[in-house]
Amino acid sequence: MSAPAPLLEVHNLEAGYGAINVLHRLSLVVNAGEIVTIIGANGAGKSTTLNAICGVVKTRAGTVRYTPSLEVIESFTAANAGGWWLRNTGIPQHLERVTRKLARVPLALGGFLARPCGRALAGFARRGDVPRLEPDKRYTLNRIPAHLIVRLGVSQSPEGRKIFPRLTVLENLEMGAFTRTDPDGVQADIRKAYEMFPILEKRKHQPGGLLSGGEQQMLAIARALMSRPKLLLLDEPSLGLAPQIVVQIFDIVKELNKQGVSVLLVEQNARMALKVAHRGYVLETGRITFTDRADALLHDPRIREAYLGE
Amino acid sequence: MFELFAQSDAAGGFGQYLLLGLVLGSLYALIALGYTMVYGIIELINFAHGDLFMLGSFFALGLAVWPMDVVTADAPTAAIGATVLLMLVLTPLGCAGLNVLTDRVIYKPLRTSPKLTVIVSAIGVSFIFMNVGLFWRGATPIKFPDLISDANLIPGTGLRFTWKDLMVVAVTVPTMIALTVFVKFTALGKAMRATAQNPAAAQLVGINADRVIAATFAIGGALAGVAAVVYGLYIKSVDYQMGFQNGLYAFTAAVLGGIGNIPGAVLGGLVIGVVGELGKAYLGAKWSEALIFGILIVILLFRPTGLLGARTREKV
Ligand SMILES: Nc1ncnc2c1ncn2[C@@H]1O[C@H](COP(=O)(O)OP(=O)(O)O)[C@@H](O)[C@H]1O
Ligand SMILES: [Mg+2]
Repeated sequence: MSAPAPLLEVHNLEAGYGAINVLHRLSLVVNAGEIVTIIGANGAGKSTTLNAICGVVKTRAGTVRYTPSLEVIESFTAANAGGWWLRNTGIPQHLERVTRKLARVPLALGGFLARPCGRALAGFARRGDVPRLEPDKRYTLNRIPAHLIVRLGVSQSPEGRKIFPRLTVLENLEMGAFTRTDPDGVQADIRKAYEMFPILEKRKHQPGGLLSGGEQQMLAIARALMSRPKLLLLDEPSLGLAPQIVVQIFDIVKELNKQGVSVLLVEQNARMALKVAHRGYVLETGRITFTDRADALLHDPRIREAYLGE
Repeated sequence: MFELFAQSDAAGGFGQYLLLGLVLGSLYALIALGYTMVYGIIELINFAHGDLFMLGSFFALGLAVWPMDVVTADAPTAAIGATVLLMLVLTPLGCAGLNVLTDRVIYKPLRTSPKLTVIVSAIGVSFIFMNVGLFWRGATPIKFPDLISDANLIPGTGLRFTWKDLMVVAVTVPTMIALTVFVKFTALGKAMRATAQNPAAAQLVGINADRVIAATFAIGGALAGVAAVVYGLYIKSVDYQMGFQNGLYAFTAAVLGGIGNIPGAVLGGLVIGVVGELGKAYLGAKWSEALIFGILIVILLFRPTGLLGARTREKV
């Protein structure tokens, strides 16, 4: 076996809220193609870890490194070529058109004024939202603004139904694809989401906030998939779901993983999590106390006692 | 019977007050939208919004004089039309720019500060704007050019609906429809709603909160600018304190409708406009404001979230 390529490397991370530090020198690795799980008691800092990776919680020390594939970089750069305004308003396209017209103004007829103005407009039009990214580079996620991280292929389904309550189910899914510029692909993925969770199609025009807890959980997962992530962070995806749907969700996780999506899974249901995962980390009050292959953890007496209720 | 006959005149009067109330109400609604949108997204009651509206009307006043010197209704119709159009384009642009600049310079550095800090700064900005207005045009009310005819468009109905009234409706209604379409159907509009509903989740899906907030201030400012032009042309008098009173009415409208709720702000504006006019007509001007705030208090007692506020409860 060749040495696994690390996709996500968290190194000596510290993060917290206000005066308290929640994570203490936390380090973990997710290799490309892996499902990795973090198990730990309530309040251990699992959600904080995922949020620190996504930039929603500010880190205080340490690094979060991410090494996406060349393909991700290319799509990322292409998607950001025109910047936010182009993708959302189309104004820069109009400016480009104006610019081309201005360039045709003869110098004698004020072209000496019009052309520099046109060039300035074009500069504005092309101004990207993001730093230029190069392949073969490791990105330090905790130095990138939170809203750009999803564009690098990292997507989170947050804990506790953090959907948009007054957007419809369909709009929630569309927002999941906010960074994408391929409308046809987005439509296809919305259909896929409906296939995965038929209940979402039945409720597509209802506000997300009116769904039941379990349905909201499905919506949160479907929304996270809409950005076509390369690294999927799942925070307690089975919370509040009926057992057969939990099984279905873990099947989906395995299927996505087969398609090449790496997964970092946080679960209360440690047994289920360890069954699908390749490796696991045990988190206790903000510190990783234990790590091993998932099947080894599943049979470790200490883990069985503390987390599997035996 | 006598009673009925005696009332027939008053009934026409009632229709008239209702009409006037709706016209004024749509003006309040435009201003209220600026309060409600900004509140919806960063939970800031932007006290400076009314004063931005005042500065907008001063700016529009300047445009009446500057390119064509159109200051009376005697000017050629084309010149009046062009001037009004110019006001309706440049004033919203100016107000939007000023609002975005204020956010960038004053509110944005305070984004993570306690809410109270930001609100106190907004009050400060309100005073700054008001004093800029005072310095700019002085303390006495200024006549705004009377450019639009007062001729009645529906003679013989017992009601008065003038070109001026039509102008208010013709500007405010399409503006509000455009805003609704924008917020409901465009990517940026949806991103705004998403950010207002859950800022952290919005970041997770890749929405840049700073840009969305800037866009919100721009739109709120532009609406205040439109309202400023319409107000000037309709009321024909502007002064540096007009932002305070109208801002207060508009803010009340936003709260009445459910602050943060866009249709609520429109509804609240119309209610306040109508109640204010009816109150003035039947109870006297001095009771009108008491009536407005009395109704506000009663509605908030029974519906603390306002008329249309929080229709779907967030399950937290
Ligand atoms: N927004 C917050 N503000 C303050 N403290 C928080 C916040 N979120 C979590 N915490 C605290 O951080 C610790 C870790 O929380 P969390 O990461 O949610 O744990 P887990 O997901 O493992 O249950 C807990 O002690 C919790 O009380
Ligand atoms: Mg958690």
